[in-house]
Amino acid sequence: MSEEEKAAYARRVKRAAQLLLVQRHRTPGVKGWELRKALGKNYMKIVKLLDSELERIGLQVKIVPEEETESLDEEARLDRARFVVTVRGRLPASDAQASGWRIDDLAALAATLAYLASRQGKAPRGEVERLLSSKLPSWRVGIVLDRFVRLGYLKEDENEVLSIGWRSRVEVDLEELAETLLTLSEEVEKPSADQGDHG
Amino acid sequence: MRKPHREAAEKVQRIIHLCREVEAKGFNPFEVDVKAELETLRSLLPFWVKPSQLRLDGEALSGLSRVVELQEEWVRVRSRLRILDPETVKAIIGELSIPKLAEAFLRAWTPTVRIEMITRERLREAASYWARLKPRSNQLEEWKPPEGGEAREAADVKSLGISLGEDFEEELQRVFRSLLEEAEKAGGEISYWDFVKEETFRETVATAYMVSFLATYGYVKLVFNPLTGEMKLKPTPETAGKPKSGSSVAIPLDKSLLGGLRVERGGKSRLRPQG
Repeated sequence: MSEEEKAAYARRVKRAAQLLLVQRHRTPGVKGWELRKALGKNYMKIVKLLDSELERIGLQVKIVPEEETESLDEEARLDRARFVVTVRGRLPASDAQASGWRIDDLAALAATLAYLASRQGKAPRGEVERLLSSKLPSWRVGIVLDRFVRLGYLKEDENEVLSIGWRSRVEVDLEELAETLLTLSEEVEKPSADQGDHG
Repeated sequence: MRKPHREAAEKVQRIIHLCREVEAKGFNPFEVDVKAELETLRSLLPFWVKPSQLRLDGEALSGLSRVVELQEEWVRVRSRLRILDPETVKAIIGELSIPKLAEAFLRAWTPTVRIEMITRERLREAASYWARLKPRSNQLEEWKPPEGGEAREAADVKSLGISLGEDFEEELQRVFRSLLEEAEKAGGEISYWDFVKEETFRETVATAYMVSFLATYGYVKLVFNPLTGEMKLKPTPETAGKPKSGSSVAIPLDKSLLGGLRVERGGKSRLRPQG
């Protein structure tokens, strides 16, 4: 590759970083068609280059397909997908709290998403409120759910049915969440079982 | 032969409604016995004469085929997620503490990153808003407090059974003494709701009103536990009478949250002498 080509790629990678990182809309990231318009047809190559650069600072580019686009071809799906930058790896609890998250809000979101996932991604709001009332003071439950809807972690329709929101699909690995909940629950049961054996 | 036709139509409507509920509310699609419902539709076919009746039949069939798709997806998702049916999830959530649930979330969470900045459009909006804003001196002249505001507020407080005259200080001291006693029994701090909640909603509001004065004038400290969301009152006689500065806290008193309170007058209250 000539120096000119390398410089051209470098400019486009910088442009891709600007498009993805700088807030332009209410929701973070950009759509694939916006990247294609700004960077050209082989924008995916630029995105992969950017991803490898971001890896050095603990970040990554994530592609979130739009719902109900499975039947479209690859190019059309990518056009409509959302490209965002997320943290690569896990965030320590102290960082989460420093960015304004209360520990009980994180717990409530974990419980809500796990429950919705077990219900094919949606459930009536009343059921979720009853579930959370076992963990949070009842006066906080509504406030917390409204916050999750506002931030995009949940969606609520006119029939008060909650579903998994776009931000959860981008930021939360539901499989990992389910695995971890199971593992932690088994850890809680195991000491109890051991004590029973000795009794 | 109207009656059998109407019954047949109602059966089909029920099938359509069931399929819609499963799809809209995420219920377990295996709760629909697709085979039995198809058999029902097959048995009702001789009743259909008009095109509108056949359309209804078609809609029910379409709904059932969507349920079958949802059943496939249900199995696919569960096998992928090692799932976790709703009852198991509820049991796990009941078992795990809040810190453990938070830990599970953090292990699965990769938050988005973005740089926030002012854009040209927002600057333009802000400049336009600034240009339309009236000078502060004009704003103060134009605003007038509602008439009878103070009198109305006093009437509202009186309706709670609180006197705003010389008795008010006495009432405040009585509530404070009660708080000291109950906090001492509870080990130095008492739950806000345990102290404020009376037999009726009116009395609860009155006690909450007095507690807000105690907090403002340094008699009591409101201690908030962010982990559990619990609020506690801690008497601070050493700072009594010294107004506190800092932020205020709004505590909603919702009848539905306080649950089971009578709305009528009567009952015991810390605001009235006992015995």
